[in-house]
Amino acid sequence: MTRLHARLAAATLAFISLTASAGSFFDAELKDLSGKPQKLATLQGKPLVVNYWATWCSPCREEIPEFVTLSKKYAGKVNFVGIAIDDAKSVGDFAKQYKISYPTLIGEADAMALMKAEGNAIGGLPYTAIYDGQGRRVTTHTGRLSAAQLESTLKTLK
Amino acid sequence: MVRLLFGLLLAMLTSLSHADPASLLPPEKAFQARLVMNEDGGYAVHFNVAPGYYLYRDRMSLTPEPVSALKATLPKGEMKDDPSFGRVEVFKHDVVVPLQGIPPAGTAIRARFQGCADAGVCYPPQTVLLHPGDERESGVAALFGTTGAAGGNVPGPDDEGYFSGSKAATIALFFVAGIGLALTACMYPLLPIISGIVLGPGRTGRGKALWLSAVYVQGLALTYMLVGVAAALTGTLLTVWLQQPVVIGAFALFFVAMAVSMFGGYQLQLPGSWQSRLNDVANRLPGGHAGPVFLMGALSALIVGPCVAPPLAAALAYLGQQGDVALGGGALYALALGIGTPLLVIGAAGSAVLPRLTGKTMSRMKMLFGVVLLGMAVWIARPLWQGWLPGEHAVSFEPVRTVAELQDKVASARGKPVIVDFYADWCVSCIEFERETLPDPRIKAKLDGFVRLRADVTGNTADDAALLKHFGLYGPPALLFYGTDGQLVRERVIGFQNADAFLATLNRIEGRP
Repeated sequence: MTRLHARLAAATLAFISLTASAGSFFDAELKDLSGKPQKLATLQGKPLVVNYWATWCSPCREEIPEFVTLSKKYAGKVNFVGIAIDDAKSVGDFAKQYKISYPTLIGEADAMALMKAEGNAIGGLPYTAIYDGQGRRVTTHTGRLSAAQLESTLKTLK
Repeated sequence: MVRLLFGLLLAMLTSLSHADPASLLPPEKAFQARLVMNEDGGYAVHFNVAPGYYLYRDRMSLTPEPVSALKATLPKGEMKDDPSFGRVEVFKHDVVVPLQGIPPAGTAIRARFQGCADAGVCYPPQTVLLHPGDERESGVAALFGTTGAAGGNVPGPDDEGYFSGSKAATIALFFVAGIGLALTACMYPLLPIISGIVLGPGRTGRGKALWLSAVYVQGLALTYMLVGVAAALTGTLLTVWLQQPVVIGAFALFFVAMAVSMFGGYQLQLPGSWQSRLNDVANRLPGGHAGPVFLMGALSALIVGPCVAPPLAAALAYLGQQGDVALGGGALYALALGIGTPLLVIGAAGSAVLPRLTGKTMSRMKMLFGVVLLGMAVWIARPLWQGWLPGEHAVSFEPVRTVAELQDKVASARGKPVIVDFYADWCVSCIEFERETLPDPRIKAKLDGFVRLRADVTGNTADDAALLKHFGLYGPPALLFYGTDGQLVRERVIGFQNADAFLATLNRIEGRP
């Protein structure tokens, strides 16, 4: 019985990740804090830092203020986007409290599938993917990313 | 000795250091939830938390489906200072959550939980539906029942199911196990000592003999309690250490020394001047010889230790996994009280139960003890010589050294089930398994259909440690399986299985997807 469940779950997951990986990251669409769908394609054209996080994730909460600082420092040169795998209410409160200046998108299964398609098979958070100006994925990182580490990558991007 | 302890400490600290994010376990491996039914139909959910991972207590919930009055009582967690949540309660070790009440038949449990790795990565909340009947309890007897001096053990199908009752029940079972151990040959070396106390100098009646025996047993029990506490604190390290060749060799030599003394090679006692001084002090103290007798009890723990090592190692491994200091100390204290119970009986009955022996008979008895002790030395040293015995390698295994190598081999097994054997030269039951179970023609035929991998962790290298840690193992013996779908099968074989039991296991594994 449980084995059947497990298999069904695995099949569903495989299906979701397949459909998500059918297109690239920039083909996807996620909701913003006000519930409006946003095309990720609008983020293309400049180097991009994609930070997957959640309010229940302690290391995510630690690194976000540093991301906010860096996004201001690189304003106009590098785009930042936060993708929260969480519920809208907690994310909205958190974004206000932490004064997140870059766009924040929200998703549950869809955001999870997107993150898995980006190479985070186990689904651990925080997870950060960095793209160059041509929309090519340069690097990904699981776990807390320090400001110094992030900045050293940003300097190499065009 | 100091250097050894220091090394032990160092090894402990490094094993506690953070996991590399690149080698993180998937959430279903880091946190495994199982629904276990106890004998009277009640439920408990067992969470296995891999080393280096933790679950948040306040994000754990268990709800019955369909809804009923079942109520989960979450045990207390450990406090963790979280940089962004402050002080939170977490479970860093395996935890058992009992559900109060008897569920209507067929009730499933929806378990929700969320946790993180010490490495600084958190997992999304997990939800699993657990069904009853997946698993049944196996008793503590499986641990001690046949692992003792008689040799040959039949552990339950799962290494995690040994205990699950309350702490008090576990402690009581350890006491019973102790009495069981006292009835083995392990007790012989203690008999001359206890009779020395009872019949010794200054014997002044039954009351005093009983008092001294009690003191003696306390010395023994408190020493064991310390070992239990150490096991709980160090995790499974102590068990692995107890199985090191050097330690085994030292124990064996100790038994040889005892035997030589029995043969009259020398008198095992303190120099006369020390003895009389000790006696002087002891006579002035209100408790009589209590001090030296207590010390004697503590030392006796060392004498019994190696003899009861196999069941003790299993018990320590369990206590180490639980990481519960009170349980660890309590359980081993109870075990030693059990071992000491027959000695107390002798003390209470006084010299009456000990036959009056002539000098001639006494020396013959000593010779007999000596032979038994020599035999025991040889038996303890088994891991050191057993590997040298002639015996064909019944089944060939492909060696794997690292986690990456193992994963490669598993990936290329495509369609074949995989067996991974964790082996070490010093692992008694690994060798027994190789000599007794594997040569069985039915097993050989069955294993032909498996990809056979062996991780030889004799050297205890960093790679070996990483392999063990990857699977949450404390050391060999362990057999793991991957199904034909390349997924790790939950069922593991920890310890020895005879040919029939192992064949049944293989059939179950093969029957999986």
